[in-house]
Amino acid sequence: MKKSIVIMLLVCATMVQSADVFIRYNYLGYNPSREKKVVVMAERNIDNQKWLVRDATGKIVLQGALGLSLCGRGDHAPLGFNYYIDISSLNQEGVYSLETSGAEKAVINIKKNPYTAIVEKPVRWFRVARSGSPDCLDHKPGHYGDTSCAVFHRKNKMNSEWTDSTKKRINIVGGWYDAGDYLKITLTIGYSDYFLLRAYETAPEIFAKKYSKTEFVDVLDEAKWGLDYLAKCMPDTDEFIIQVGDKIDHNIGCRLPDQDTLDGKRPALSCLSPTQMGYAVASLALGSDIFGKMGKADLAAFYKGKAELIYRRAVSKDATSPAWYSIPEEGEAFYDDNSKNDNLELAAAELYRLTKEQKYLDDAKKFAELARSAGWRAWESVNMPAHMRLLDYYPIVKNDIRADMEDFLKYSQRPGNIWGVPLKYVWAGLYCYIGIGSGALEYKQLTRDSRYQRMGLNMLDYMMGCNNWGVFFIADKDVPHTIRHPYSQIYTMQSRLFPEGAIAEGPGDVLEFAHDFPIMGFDNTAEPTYKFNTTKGVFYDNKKDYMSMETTIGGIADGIYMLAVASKNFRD
Amino acid sequence: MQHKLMAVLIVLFAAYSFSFAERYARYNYVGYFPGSIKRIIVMSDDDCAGTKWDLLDQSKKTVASGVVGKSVFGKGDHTPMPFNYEIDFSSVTAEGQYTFKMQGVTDAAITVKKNLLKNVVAANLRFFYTHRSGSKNCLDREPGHFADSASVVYHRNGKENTDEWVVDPKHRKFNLRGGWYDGNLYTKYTASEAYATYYLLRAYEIQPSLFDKIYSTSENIDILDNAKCGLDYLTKIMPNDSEFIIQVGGFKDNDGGIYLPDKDPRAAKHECYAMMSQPQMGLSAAALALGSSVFSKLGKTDDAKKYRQMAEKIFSKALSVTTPPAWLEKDGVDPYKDETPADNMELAAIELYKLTKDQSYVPKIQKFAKEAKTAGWSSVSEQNLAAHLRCMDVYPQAKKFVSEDLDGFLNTSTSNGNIWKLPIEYTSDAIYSYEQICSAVIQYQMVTKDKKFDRMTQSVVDYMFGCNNWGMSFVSLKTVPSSVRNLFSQIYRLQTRLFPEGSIVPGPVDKKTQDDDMWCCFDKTTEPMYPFNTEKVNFFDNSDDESCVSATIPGVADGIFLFSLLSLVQGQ
Repeated sequence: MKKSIVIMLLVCATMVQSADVFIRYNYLGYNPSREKKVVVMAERNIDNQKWLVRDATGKIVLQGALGLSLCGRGDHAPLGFNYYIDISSLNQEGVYSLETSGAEKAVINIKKNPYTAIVEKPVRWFRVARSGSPDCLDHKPGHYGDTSCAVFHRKNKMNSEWTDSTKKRINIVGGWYDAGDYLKITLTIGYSDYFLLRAYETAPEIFAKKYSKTEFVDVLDEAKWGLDYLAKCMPDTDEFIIQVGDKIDHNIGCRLPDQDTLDGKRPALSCLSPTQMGYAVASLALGSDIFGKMGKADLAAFYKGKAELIYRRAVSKDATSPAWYSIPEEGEAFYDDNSKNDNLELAAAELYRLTKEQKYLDDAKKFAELARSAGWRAWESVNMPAHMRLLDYYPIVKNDIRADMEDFLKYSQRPGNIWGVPLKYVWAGLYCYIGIGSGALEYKQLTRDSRYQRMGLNMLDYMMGCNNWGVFFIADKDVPHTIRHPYSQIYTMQSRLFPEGAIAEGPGDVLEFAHDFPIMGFDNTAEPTYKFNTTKGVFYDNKKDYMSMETTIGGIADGIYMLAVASKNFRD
Repeated sequence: MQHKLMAVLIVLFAAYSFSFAERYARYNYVGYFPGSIKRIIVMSDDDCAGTKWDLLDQSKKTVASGVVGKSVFGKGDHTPMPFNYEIDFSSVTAEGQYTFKMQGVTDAAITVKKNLLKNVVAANLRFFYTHRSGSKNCLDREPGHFADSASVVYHRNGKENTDEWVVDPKHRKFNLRGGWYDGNLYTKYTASEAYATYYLLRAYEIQPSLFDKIYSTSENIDILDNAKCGLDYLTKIMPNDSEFIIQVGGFKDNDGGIYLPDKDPRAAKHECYAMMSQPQMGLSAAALALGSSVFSKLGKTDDAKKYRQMAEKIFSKALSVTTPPAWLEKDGVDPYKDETPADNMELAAIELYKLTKDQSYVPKIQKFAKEAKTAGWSSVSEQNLAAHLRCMDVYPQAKKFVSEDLDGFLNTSTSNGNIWKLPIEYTSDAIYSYEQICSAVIQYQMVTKDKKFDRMTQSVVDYMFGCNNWGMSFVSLKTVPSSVRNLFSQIYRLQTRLFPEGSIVPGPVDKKTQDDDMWCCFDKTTEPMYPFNTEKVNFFDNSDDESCVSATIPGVADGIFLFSLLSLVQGQ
């Protein structure tokens, strides 16, 4: 008996070791009513191979055969044989197992809203990223020295030359660290705060209070933290802080926030730069609206006042061209958003929604006409979100939304694009994908037109495991194949901590990776994801890989918004 | 009944306490020579005085036993645990495999063997093959840096040692192909090349039968094959009467990221830095002179002649140098900085004297020995001990300098709490200094028959092979499971499947220095070595830890030299 058990265990072990068929699916699960598609990748031809689905009792509830391979190895497919299995007919809630020969069983959850439980985790990340706050998590608070930062201005409008000629100092404590470093970037703080607020506005029921010490649920507590920081960014009418910290932050090695020797010496870079100001205004205006509806009149009035002031200065004659911090000799530019129109459109649209003042609508239309479509969606391109925000008041922007969406859809339907990704591989590609995905779902919610819905759902599934690598791109201990190793000083220096809620930048372009790989310096061939890379796209869950794993607040806000939009999608 | 209950409770309590007590046997994993001092250190967090121990042979027969005496020291600078015991089993002199048993301690496998270090030195020599530059006979990677055959010449700008050397006005190029990479970087320092070559030759000269031909593709055994690699490189470093190359490759080697040698973008851009600099010239002349002697005895007259001519040329030129020693320095980093040329020149003079028997070298030996005096230290830059030991028959007064230095080391090794008998305070490259000091001790004893240093020498050798706080062999050997394996090395960091066989790492470092190093980017508290660090010393086997695990060719050559001396005096 013992011998046969041993033999069985050995056989099982051999089977697992020799798995050459891989099922890729959404680990969190699927809403009963939605289309459900699973990808099977194989190293050998398994055309017409049988598959079956069992329910929790072991009863076969669905079965079929794989068809012919959809495509061979290619830009998106790491293995030679690729198949879809449609399990859309599973429409009863429950836990199922999908089996096909040569693959590990896939555990499929069918649940009305599978995404509500996870959303608190990426919201938690913002608390980890908090600067100058006693309520931060996973590290001691730091950077209280930001209460008195020297103000630096651009010299000759050069983004590479900043001087503190005025000897002015300001209190700019607070906000969030942008990513693996300790810089505070107003562009991404404004962007992130905006999408936190939009997520709450979209699906307030999915957010709970776990870490918040205020009366607000976690997401609003964080949003308020961000808004209070953004309000500080304009200490007087001639200053707007676009960044705290500079290149030295990247050149002194690893440390935890409370051990940063730069604390108290960090410069605050100031410029009336419309790109950062636009996002700050959009956040403050939306924040005013949301907190106003909660009966927080003082707060709402404060945010509204700040939003209007910053907007007035952003569109005034002495506002400059978009500014950012750059280090030309290192080829580095920090969040170089050089297109202000989408940012200002979003700002004006939110101010109009808040105040109903015609001048803001006029401005929003004007900026929408200038912004048009972007062919892109990321932290510097909010053309689609801005247009959608304006759609009810200026329906013509639908054309620009459609122009972008059609391009993305076309790319997602290219032969061999088995995941339906809407863009080529780029640095921080996942953030773009989920930005587009949430836009696709939002479009359906706004227009009842579901032509892009599949693309949106595909990106939801992609984020949650249905990708080359079978990786769950949100750090969640309870989910198999979750990411674990963000490029983050806080977690590198405290490896005992799990980076709960981090969302990876995700797969990126092979050539960009190759360019920076020597700096990252790890053995990529020994990484478990290596075999699932393609000649175009790579992903490594390695703490040194700042292309795939430097989680940023902007990307995490994108993820939270995606979860909210998806939840609303299934709720409605 | 009450008594029985009490007894049961006492037994349970004792068992409970015991299950949480930690006891570690620290011993030499490679083994002991039959006639050597043999000891095991037991570190414990509970008092185990009176506990019985046994040493069993392969037939399970007890060959030595005893009870643990009083703790020799509590928790301290050298001891991470509060109870520390020394167990001596020097009485066991028969070759064989033994098992050390003691309650609460994992059984320790003890080897007693005459020919103990043959495999170790074979592995160490393998390290030299992995570090060969511009050679097809390299291991663990593809060959690289053939373009060093045309390295552009740079000259020092004045007398200051900075990194701002000036390119030769005619952009002349010299052939500096060959040699070894110093360590992690692909830079070649003449000091380290000459030093390593010299000690390989010394090791061979002392105990030729210790060495085999395993990796060599020439007619020479591995050690001579490598010595020839070094010597042939050294014949290129003085391409004319006015230029001497102190280094190939510069600080830019540090900046470009991590590459395998054949992929190094700096490979075709290596500079060669020319400066008449006595320390490097002295070491080079010493190596070449000794090489001439060794190869002459092997009947390789052409090689011997070539090496001799170059040795004489370099030494003669060095005597006329009036400029200060040269090295490259940037941001406080100054690899192989050596401000004191006298010891190197003394070494060169004695080797030339031994080769030529030319009496004109004798006054030079005496002059340089007097200048060098004691160093209180031993490293690549401080060869006082080595030079004085080499010239004691020509200049007997040198013995005084040697004994002064050795007495100083002995004092440190017998200081209170120094249970490992380490001869110097914790510092960087400590293991390499220990190797040199022990080699000096053995040579000194061979001449003087003075036994007072025996314990220090054996303890340090045991320390290298596992009898240390961490139970870690600082010599990487596949056959020793608790060996260092995560080298700070481009070659091994990019190929984690490979084991860095034969490397010897610099080992434990001063805790404060390392804790202040913010480029040491990993979580020290979760490292398995962490609990065994003390208030004074750190060690981590982590490939991101440059100070602990960055092996260099001089350090490995030091090991080979020490092992050959040990084999000579103890293995017979």
